[in-house]
Amino acid sequence: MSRIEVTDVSKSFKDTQALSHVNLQFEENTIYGLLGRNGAGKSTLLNIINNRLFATSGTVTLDGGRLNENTRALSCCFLANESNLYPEGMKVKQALRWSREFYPDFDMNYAQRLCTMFELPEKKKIKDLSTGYQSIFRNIIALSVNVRFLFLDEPVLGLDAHHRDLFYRVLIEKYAEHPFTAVISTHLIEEAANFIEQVIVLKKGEIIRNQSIESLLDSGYCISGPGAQIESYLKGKEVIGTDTLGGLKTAYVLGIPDPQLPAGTEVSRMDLQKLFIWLTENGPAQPQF
Amino acid sequence: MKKFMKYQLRDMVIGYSIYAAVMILLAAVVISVSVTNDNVNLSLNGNGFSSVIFCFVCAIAMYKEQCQLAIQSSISRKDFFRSSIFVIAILSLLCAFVDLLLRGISLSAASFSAETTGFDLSSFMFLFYPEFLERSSDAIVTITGFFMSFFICMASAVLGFLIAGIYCRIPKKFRTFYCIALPIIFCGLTPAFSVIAIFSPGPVRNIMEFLLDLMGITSGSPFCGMMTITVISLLMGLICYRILKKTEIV
Repeated sequence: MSRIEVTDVSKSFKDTQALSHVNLQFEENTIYGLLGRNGAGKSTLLNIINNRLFATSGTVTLDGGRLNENTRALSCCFLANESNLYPEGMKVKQALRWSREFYPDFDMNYAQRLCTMFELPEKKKIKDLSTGYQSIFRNIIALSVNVRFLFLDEPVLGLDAHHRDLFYRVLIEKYAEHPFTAVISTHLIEEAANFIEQVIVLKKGEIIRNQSIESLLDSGYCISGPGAQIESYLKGKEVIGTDTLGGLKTAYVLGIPDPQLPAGTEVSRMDLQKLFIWLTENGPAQPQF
Repeated sequence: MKKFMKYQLRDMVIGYSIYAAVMILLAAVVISVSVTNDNVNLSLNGNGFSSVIFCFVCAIAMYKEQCQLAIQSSISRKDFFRSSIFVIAILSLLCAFVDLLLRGISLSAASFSAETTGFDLSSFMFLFYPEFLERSSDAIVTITGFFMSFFICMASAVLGFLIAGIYCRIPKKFRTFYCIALPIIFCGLTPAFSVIAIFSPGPVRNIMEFLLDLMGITSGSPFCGMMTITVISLLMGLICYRILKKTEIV
């Protein structure tokens, strides 16, 4: 089994500590969701793994070998992020052609199929594409390179609902046909919750959660019903958030539901977004794994 | 590395083809004018310098865009640097070849019309090592001239690579200052030297003599000059590599 190991990685920019002693492992054939508020260090972490930024301390290895400045190891990884590192005058078509040269497993037919599917104009220069289409372009390259470790930093930035849905479908189909490791950093937690398997939550450069989405969501539950019933039920429980709509109230509670629930109430699965907000705002100070 | 070198060569060949075509066309026009008009005395100067500037500009352009593409394409900085040095060497060879070709054209023009003496092609050898031209055969002068052009173009390209490398490495807020300061330093060196020479001619003369010795101009040995240029290129390349290795690209 192939794996990327991030060991004790720290990164500081002048007086800002972007990452602090991060320890992580990315296993093969898993979809990771990298979550965190703005400035939590998600992009910095992805840039360090992909040899774009240098860690102040710590190492990143692929199967025991250093990933930093190692073309052979780096060719197993691909990072698609907001920054356009393609030459100014390069057209989409040329970028696809050169990607085929640089990545031996690049699937040109698949890339062209995706271009048609997303209506990406192949003859246009990359810099002339709109924000949404630039994201689509990067996602198409990312999905076609067929590397073992794919890193997507805000892949749906600027995409409309239709294209977002299409992208998620294509990603899941691709993963089902040829499994690979995808690390997806996103702020659209509700959408990502449908397909991520492992959740990594970063807060101020530190990892506060790294566990399967199942176990994370099992750490709490959601109860809804008439306001008065819910209010009385919540006494003595750790509530991380509530929503009220007319007379109905929904509460997000940590722990497991009582065996005897008040009449008229209903228990459902914890909402990942609510949990994320709680974790990153008021969550436990000590990292928990 | 080979794959990226293929990309770099493909990128360079378009620019080089246009440059070579323009240079040959220019020489052809000058020669045809001097051949058809006996009373016209023309000389083609600075073609070597244009190659030097072409290599310099190419290297600057190569660094920024191609380095970013290399990083995007999961290629290490080390491999990008190695590939770029190969490409720079090939470009310098091609530019030296253009100089050689122009020399060949000028010689053929002279032999085509025995009466034509109105065309003259100046080269680095002619400018810096006239004594060597006098004491060596045409074949040796041609071969030495070719290598001289190659080493000078190579040094110029490495200098361009270094300048672009420093630009990408320094913080953004200093980049405008760097862009303004560079030409001022380059263009201001000679007048500054002249001013210093007025007040203290001794040390300036010593420095100049040392530089002329180093370049083999005093002794009239282009090989000494080639050696010095190679050492300078290697040093600049080494500095450039150290800078590139620490450059973060996002």
